[in-house]
Amino acid sequence: MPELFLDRVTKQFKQKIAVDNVSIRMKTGVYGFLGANGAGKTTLLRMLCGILKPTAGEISYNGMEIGQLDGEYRRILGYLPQDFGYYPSFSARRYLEYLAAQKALPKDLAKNKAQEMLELVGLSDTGKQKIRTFSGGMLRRLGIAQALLNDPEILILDEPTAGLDPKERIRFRNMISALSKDRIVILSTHIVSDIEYIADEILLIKHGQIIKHGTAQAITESIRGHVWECLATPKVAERIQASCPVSSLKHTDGKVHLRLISHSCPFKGAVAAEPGLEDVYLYYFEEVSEYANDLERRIV
Amino acid sequence: MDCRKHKQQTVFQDASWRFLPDAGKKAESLLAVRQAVAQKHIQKRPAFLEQIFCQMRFHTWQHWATQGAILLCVFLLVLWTGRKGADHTVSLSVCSVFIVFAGNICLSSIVQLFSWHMAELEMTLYFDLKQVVCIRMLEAGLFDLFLLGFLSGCLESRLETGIFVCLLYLLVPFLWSEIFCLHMLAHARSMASSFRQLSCVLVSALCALFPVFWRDAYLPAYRLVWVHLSVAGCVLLILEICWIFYHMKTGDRLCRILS
Repeated sequence: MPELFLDRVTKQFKQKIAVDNVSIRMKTGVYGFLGANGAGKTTLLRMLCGILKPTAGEISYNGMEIGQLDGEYRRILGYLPQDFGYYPSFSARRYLEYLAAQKALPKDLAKNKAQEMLELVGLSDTGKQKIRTFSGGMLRRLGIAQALLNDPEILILDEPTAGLDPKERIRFRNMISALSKDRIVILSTHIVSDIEYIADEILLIKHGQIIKHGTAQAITESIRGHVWECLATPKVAERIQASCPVSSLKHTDGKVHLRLISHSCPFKGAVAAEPGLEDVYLYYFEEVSEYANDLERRIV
Repeated sequence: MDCRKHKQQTVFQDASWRFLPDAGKKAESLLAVRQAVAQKHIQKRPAFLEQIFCQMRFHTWQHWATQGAILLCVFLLVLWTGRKGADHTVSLSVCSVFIVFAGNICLSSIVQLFSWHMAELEMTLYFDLKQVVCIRMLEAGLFDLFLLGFLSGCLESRLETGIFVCLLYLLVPFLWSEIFCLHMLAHARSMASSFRQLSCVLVSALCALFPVFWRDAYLPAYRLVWVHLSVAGCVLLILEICWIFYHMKTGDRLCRILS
């Protein structure tokens, strides 16, 4: 069973600490890295892939430092970068065959695998088409196909669903869920729904640190009592919006139905609501405490 | 001793001692073995030479066409310099400009690896970016060496200066243009790649034409300057390559560029 261990990993770029003292042990399953843009997710993933070397700390796979494993670690790795790289003049099939060769797959197997992956991501009809003619969604699917070519034990996907339509997104989620058996799947995203249903463990990353981790249920449970729903007049709703992170807002019959995040009851008549992962995101990434101080001043 | 041996032989030859194989269990065991074999990941570790051929397999037809065109141009150039009454200084300068162009075109296969966000992905593959860059540099270097050697050999007979002197005159512009191109690749990533390379080639080609405007440049008196320039060029080229490899190893600069 593969095991990935991050031991007090830190990455510093000149004056900026991108990843700050991260420690985590990962075994088989889907791990969802959730965080705002610039939280340090991509840097962490790049270190996990061996692209970047940690300034301090160590990343080990099955007890061996990944730098020492070198090619043998890359052999069991599948990676989809945020900015997916491709050669525009290559056809999709040729591109996959090229990457399969770079992943040291035997020639015959590479051909079969390329075809298999094209079918898996629904690109078998466009296999001979030049990549430069592909749409954003097709490119993303090709990216997923290349990451799976070598049947990796560690699959790292950085913003994998960017550019995918809802149908493709659901298909992708199901695919990842099916693939997660016997491998470590690490998904980085700021789209909550991408990981809500498939991640075995969610890690909230903020300012380069893991501020919270656990199952989706445990994490949502942690903010119980901080999610509120209320019906207000448009004028009051406007004031509330300026004072609290609002996770949903709906106009109904001259009134506004609000769902908001607050440490305490933000508004007379507001009732506590069942928290969801989107509320968790707002709670941890929208600085609720700062809003709370402001709220006390504003709301009568 | 003989007696014991004989006894053992008779025991093994006696059919009653043998167990007849259970066909069902045998099939079961074979199935288990087959399943274990199917699940086993057979890992291939291709040799360096195999990897070179693999890289060559994935070059585009445009790449091979360009190499062919360069070779054709070399032959035409040799024919042109061999015609009666050809000016030696002009011949050498034109060959220098040509070798600058050829060198930069060969280098484009390396530049390509850093384009279209491919570098980040290539760094995570079994044969990573460093190895691929090594192979592409080797390919380009061998081709350039062939061109340099061939042109020097052909010019030598006409210039009567010796093959090494010809090689020196061609090597200096070639080396410095390669340094310039690699330097721009590493330090001017924000510039559009086609514009960057074109500007590199044009500036280098103009510099290579310098002896046409100052004809004394090829005089034996200045040969030591050429030697110094070539040695400095070799050192700088090595440093530039080491710098690129160092940043590929640490990844920091590459990722800052990608971000």
